[in-house]
Amino acid sequence: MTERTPELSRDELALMAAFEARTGDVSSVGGSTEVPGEFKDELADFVQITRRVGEMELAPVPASVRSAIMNAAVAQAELNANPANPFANLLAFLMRPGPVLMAGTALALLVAVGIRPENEPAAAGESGMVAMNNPAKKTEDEASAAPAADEPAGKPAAEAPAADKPAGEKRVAAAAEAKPAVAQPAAGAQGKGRVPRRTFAATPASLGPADKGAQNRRDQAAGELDDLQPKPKVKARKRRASRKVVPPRPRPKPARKNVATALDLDDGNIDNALDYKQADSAGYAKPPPPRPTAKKKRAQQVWNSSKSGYASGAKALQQKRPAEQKEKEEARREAVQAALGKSRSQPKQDSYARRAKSAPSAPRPAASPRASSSPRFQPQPNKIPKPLKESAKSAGDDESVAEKDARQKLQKDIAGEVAKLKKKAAATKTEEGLVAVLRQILNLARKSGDVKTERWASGEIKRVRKVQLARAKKAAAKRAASAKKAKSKAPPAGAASKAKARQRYDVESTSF
Amino acid sequence: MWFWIFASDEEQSDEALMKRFLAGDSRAMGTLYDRYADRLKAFAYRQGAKRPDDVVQDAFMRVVRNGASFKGNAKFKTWLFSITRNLCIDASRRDKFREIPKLEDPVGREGGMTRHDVIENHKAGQDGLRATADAQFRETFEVALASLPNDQREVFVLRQYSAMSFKEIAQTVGCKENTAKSRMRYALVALRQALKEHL
Repeated sequence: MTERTPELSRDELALMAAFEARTGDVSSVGGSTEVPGEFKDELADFVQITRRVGEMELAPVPASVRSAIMNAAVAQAELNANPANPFANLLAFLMRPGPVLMAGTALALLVAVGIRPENEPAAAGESGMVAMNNPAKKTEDEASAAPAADEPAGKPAAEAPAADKPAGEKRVAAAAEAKPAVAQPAAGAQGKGRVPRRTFAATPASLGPADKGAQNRRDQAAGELDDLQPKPKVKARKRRASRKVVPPRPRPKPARKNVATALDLDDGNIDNALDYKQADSAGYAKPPPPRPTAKKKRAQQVWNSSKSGYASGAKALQQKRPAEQKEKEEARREAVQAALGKSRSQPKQDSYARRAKSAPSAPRPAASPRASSSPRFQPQPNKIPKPLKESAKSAGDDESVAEKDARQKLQKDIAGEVAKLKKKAAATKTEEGLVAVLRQILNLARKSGDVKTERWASGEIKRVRKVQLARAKKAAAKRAASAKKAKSKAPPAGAASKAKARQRYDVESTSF
Repeated sequence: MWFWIFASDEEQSDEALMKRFLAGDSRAMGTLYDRYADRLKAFAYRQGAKRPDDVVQDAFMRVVRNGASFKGNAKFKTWLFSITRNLCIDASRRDKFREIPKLEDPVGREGGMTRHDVIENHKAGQDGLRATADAQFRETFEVALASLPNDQREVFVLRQYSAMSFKEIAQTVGCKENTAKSRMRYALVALRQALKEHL
C-alpha cells in the first residue's frame, strides 16, 4: 500500500536536487544545487547516511549464478547472431511427427476418395448389387424382360372403369396413372447408372386382408382424433381422402430374372402370373416367387385340393400315389377295421386307430382371400395339419353308424367300470389290494384305449412298488445296523480311561 | 554506430553492450552482469527478498531471453531494475508462505552476513570495536528501513543501489519525478531520525 506523500516546497525540492547532485551523477542534475542555510545540516546528514549505507558490504552473488547466466547468454547470442531461416523454421515445424501424420492421413483419404471413379462397378463379390449398379447389365435384363412385360402394358388398370372396381383396385389404378410422372426422373437416374427409384403403390395384397371391420375401426379412430381437434369434420374427411390419393413413394426396382421364364404358368399359378404381369406393367410388382420344385408342386396340389375339403384333398393325393403305397394303405385299413370289429367282443383296441378315428374330419376353413389372391402366395406343405394326413391314411370314413354307436357304448361302459375301480382303489387300505385294483384299471384302460388312464394306473403301480422296495431296503439296513451293534456291545479294556482323558483335555484346552 | 567495436567493454554504455549482445556477442552480457549483479542483489535484499541471489539470476535470465524486446527507448538500467522490482514483488508474495531458515540466508536484516558467516565469526572470535559499531549501525538501519512505508523504501533503495536519477526512479516506479523526490525526502528524514546517534 502506497501512502499519499505530501508535496515538497521549493526549498525542499532544492534540497533534494542538491542531494541528488552530491550522491549521484552530477551531470544528470540540471539547474542550481544551492540549498538554504537551514537545510545544510540536513543535507549533510543525508549524504552521510547514504555513504554509510553504501559502505555496508553485502555478500557477492555466487559464481554459479554468473555461469548459469553466461551459458544462457552464449546460447541466446548464437541464436541472435544466426537467426534461423523462416523457411527452415517452417519446415522444422511441419516435419514434426504430429503434422506429418495428419498430412499423411489427409492425403490417403483424398487419394482414396479421388481415385475411384463414379461409374466404377462394385466388387465382384457383390453380385447382386452389380445388376443394380451396372447400367449396362441392367439394360440387358430389362431388354430381355421387355417383351413379357409389355404385353399387358397395364391396359386393364387404365381402361377399366374405376367405379366398377373394388377399393383396392381403385388405388392400384390411381398408382398406375401416377406412374409416368414419377418414372421420368427414375429414367434419368438410370442413365447415370444409379438405382432407379420405383413408385410405391398399394396392391390389393399389400393392403392386407379384406377386413372391412378393421378398416372401419381405423377410420373411426381417425375420425375420433379429428373430432378432438377444433377443425371441422369436412376438412378431416378431405384430408383422409387426400391421404389415400397421395402419390406413391418411389421404390427401387429390384434386380430380377426374366418374368416370362420365372413364372410357372401352369395350375393355379396362372392367375397369379397374370396378376403379376399386370402389376409389373403398372410398375409396382414384386419379384415373382421362385420356381417351385417337384415336392412343392405336390404340396401345392394338396393345398389346392384342400380348398374343397380335406377328404377330397386326401383322395387327390391318393390318386397320385404309386400302386405300392395304395396296397400298403389298403392292408392297413383292413387291419384297422378288423381291430374295430374285434373291439365289440374283445375290448383290446389299437389306441392309434382310436386317435385317428377321433381326429377332426371337418373341412379346413377356406383360405383367406389375401392368401389366394396374393402374387406372393407360397404353398406351405409342411404346415398341412397332421390329422389330415392321418385321416387320409386311416380311411375310416366309411365306418357305419351302428359300429360307431357300439364303440361309444363300450367306451362308456369301460369308463364307468374304471370310475368304480378308482373309488375302490381309494378305499383300499392294503398295498397289495391297491395294486390288484390298479391292475384291473390298467387292463380296462388298455381295452378301451384310454391312454391317460392306462398311464395313470401303471404309474400308481410303480409308485406303490417303489414304496414297498424302499421300505424293504430300510428294514434290511436296520437289521444290519442292529447286528453290528450287538457285535460291538462289549467295550474294550482301556475305553473308560480314554474317555476320561479326553474329557480332561477338553477342560484344559478351554480354561486357559 | 559501430563505435563499440573500438571501445573497451567497461567504457561502453549499457545500451551499447545490450546491442552487442543482441548482435551475438555473449561477452557483453558478462560485462552487464558484472556491472549490475551486486547492485541488483542489494536492491532485492533491501526490498525484502529472502533469496536475492535467485532474484538476480531470474532478472538476468529474463534480460537474456527477452533481450529482443529491449528497443532502447528507455535506459537499460531502468529496464533491468523494473524487471528486478517486479521479481521482488513476486518473491515477497511467494515468501509469505515459505519461512524455512537456511544457513545461506542473511541473519535478520543484516546484509551480507549469513548464518553460516555468523557461526564462523563466532568461532574465530573476530569481534572488534569497529565491527561492533558497524553492526549496531546496520541493525538500527535495518530496523529503520523496515519501518519505512513501501513506496518510500522503494525509492530510497533504488536511489541508493541503482544510482538512478529521480527521473529514472519515477519511470521505474511509475510516478512523477517530484513524487519520487518527496518520497525520498521523507525516507531520509525518517532514517536520519533513527540513525541520529550513529551519525
